[in-house]
Amino acid sequence: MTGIAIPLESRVRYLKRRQAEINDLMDSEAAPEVLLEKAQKIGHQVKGNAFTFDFADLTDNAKSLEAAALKKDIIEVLTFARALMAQVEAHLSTLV
Amino acid sequence: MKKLKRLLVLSHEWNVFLVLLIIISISLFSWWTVKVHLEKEWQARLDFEMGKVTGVIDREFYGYGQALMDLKAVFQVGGIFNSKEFKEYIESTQVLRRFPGMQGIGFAQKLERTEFSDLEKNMRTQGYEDFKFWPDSERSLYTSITLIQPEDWRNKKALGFDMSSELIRRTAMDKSLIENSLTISDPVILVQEDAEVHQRGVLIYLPVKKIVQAADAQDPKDALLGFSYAIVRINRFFNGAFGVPEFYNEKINYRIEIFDKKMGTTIPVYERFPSREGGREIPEFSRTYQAKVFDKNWTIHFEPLPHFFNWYERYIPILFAFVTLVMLSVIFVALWSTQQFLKFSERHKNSLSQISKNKSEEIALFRKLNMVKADLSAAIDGDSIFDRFCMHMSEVFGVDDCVVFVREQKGPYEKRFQKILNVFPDFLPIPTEFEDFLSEGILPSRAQDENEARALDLLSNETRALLADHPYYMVGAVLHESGKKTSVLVILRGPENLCDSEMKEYAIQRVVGQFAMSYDKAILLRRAEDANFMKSSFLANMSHEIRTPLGVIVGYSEILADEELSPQEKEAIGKSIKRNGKELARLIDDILDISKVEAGKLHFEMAQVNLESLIHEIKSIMEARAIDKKIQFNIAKLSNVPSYVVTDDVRLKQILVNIVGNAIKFTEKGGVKILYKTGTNEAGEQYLEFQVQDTGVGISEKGREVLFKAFSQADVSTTRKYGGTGLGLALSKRLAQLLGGDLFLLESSIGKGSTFCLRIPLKDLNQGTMLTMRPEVTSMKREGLEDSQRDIDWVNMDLKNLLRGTRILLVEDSEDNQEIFSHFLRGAGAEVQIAEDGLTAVEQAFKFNPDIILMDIQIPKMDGREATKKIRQKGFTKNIIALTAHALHEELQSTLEAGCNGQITKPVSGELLLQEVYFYLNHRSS
Repeated sequence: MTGIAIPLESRVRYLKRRQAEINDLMDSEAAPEVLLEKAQKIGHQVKGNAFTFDFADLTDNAKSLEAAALKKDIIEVLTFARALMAQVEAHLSTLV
Repeated sequence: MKKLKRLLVLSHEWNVFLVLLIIISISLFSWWTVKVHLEKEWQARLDFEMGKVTGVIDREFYGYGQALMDLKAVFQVGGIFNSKEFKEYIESTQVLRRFPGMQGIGFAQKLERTEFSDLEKNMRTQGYEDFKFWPDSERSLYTSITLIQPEDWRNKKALGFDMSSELIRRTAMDKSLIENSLTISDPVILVQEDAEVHQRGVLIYLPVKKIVQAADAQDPKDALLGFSYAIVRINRFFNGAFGVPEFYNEKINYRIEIFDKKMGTTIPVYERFPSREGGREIPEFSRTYQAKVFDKNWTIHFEPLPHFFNWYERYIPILFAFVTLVMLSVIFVALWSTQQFLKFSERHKNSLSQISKNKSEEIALFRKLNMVKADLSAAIDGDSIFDRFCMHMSEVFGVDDCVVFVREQKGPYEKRFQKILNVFPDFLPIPTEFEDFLSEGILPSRAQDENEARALDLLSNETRALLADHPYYMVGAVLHESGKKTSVLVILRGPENLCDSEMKEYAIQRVVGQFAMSYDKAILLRRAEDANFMKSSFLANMSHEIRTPLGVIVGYSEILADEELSPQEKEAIGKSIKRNGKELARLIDDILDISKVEAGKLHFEMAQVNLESLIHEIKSIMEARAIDKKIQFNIAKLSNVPSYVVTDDVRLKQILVNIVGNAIKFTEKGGVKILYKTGTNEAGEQYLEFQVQDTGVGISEKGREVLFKAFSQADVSTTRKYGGTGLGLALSKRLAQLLGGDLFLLESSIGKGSTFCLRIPLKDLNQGTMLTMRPEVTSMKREGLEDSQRDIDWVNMDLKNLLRGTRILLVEDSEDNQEIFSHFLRGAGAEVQIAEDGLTAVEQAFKFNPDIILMDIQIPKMDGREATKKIRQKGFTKNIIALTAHALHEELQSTLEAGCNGQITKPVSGELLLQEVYFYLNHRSS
């Protein structure tokens, strides 16, 4: 069985979108509720498709981000968002 | 009050009779008082009636005397009248009209013997032609009636009659002459009377004399002119004065008598109501009155007639007495009852106060019992229940120590709790029959009665010796709440009087019963918690178990993408992927099967199965694993086993693979053996038995308890060391039971190995039946999928053309997923249309007309389930596969119910996505 490779540009786009989203999250001056909602969405999304884009290592931090958002713990949210961002940027630097 | 009480309480029985006597006396006295009062009343009333009678008699006779005296005066002054003058005089005085009781009034002229003829001549000249003096005889005085009024036919008969010729008349006349006063004769037969009816009468005489000087009067007869007299016919007199006697209209009766002194006899004059019988009794209540009538004394006897009394008067005294008697009797009975009660109270003073005290204690005990039960039922942990139980038993019943044994099903009594008491062993050998005695109540170790002694005889000598040291009490409770019989035996060490009342005995039984019930509930709760914990552990394990083969598959798949690999490497990688794929499929099979078993939706197809072929298949599967682990693997037939059996070969194979797989997994050295044979159970039914023996790690006592429970392994370290979900044995046991047999652990020894035994019924081929249940669309489809997964050769698949020409509607809101999924799908040759939300999906399902729809569940506007329902409602019949982030049974079930044919769990790799789509397209036609 011959595997189907994931296009590099798709993976890069994926990372850049995450990068933009996490930046938006961290720089946001929106109300805490909005911030938590964004964090939960990012966490859930990365948890659900990082593996598909072959970034399985992002999953754990994404899960933690989602859980922190559900707990409404903003400090934890920002902590995991930074960690996720570091991973995203590391992958980007490798790919680009 | 105290004096009265003492008087009543301490008096003797005879006092009662004294009181009775007093009551009767008072009743008699009341009767007598009323009677006397009434009699006085009657006397007064009788006096009044007598007065009326005597008054009339006095008045009448006074009038008669007055008339005679008037006549005398007239004759003395004016001389003797002739008959005409006399008639005129009488009419002028109206004396006859005034005194209607008088028969007549007349004058008897004195005669000398020589004057008889002259008188007769004279009278004849006056018109009395038949006048004649009579009777003619010798006597000292001759008189002849010459005048009489009224001159009716009756009175005329008396004319000429000499009244002195008759004794009674002459006596009265003589007396009248001598005394020169009015005299009255005794009753005589009147000459006026006819012969038939003799009417008696009395005559009143008054002498009429010439007026002479007193000195000249030598003999009264010399101056005598005659006698004026009045005739009183007795009946006429009384009828005229009082009316004709009417018995029922008159109140009194009276009888008049005259006592004749000379004769010494009583001469009756008149009786108002003569008695018919001669000897009539004189009534109890009567009066006698002496009435002076001229010279005579008339004795008048009065007696009341029935009409004299008012009708109720006769009954008043007796009624009064009766009422008094009744009232006093009632009072007496009340007093007597009080006396009896007080006597009883006095006699049983001590016992009554004891009963009262006992009742108070029982009420207090009952209240405490409720409190204790509530407290015990509130506890949820076994140890805390026992602590509370001990505390309450000590506080309420004075029990200083206790120990609790529990027997499950028919096992031995195992010690579960003890306070301080440590003389009893951990296991008590107690026969089942003993429980029958425990159910009857509390059994004391120092038994008194025969029944209790018989119960204790059932115990072993050792147990009896232990129980003989102190006063022990055994209480039993049997529970079935946890689904099996649990017997609880509580041994209490308490005071000698622990069961001295039924209430206490009852209370102890209730408390023990509540303790046992609470304990049982605590056990159930702990089991539920354990089960929950096991399930959580299972979920964690499952995640790990799924990831492991998945990770391998994904990893190798990526390596395969590298086209620089040598064919040998590719083949090795392909095999590894295949093995891990199968492992993953088996895992999913187990999860789905256990879900189906729990939901009762597992299906069996009973058919004729070639046993040798099945054994060979098992051998070929398992031998490879055994070789991998470098252990031996053997199969041996121990008896004549039929070549064909009726069973579900897939399930039987599944069970055997499971238990043999386990045996291999847990065996590091030595080997695994399958021994199979036929046998017959107690009911005479034949079975086929497989024994799987291994020389593995063995199973501990604790591990055996949870061995066949879902989501549990012998211990958590097992999971870490050997992997696995803990589903295998639970599923296998349930499958064996559903096949009509059983799977159990025959024996096991730590470090030496275990033997599992699988038994399935050996059915006659002719009886083989299809046990397929009603077709469940989803389950059937799933079965199809599983079969397909086993059959596909993935290694040789060409992914780039896998989905060529297939139209796929991808419903996905995530931009990333849209991009990557469509990349994968298009890379496999499919034509992909993307819908971003539920509404668009419904629309595109019919516009684009896809072969398959991949439906994300969490999408905007209308979620995936709703969209699926709409699409199905509009008639879409092809596959719709849910894309979900959860692989839970509930999630799968809800998507299936919405109309999906299956689900793909995210995250998913490109290859897995293509495989799934391919399977559904090729093996799951709608």
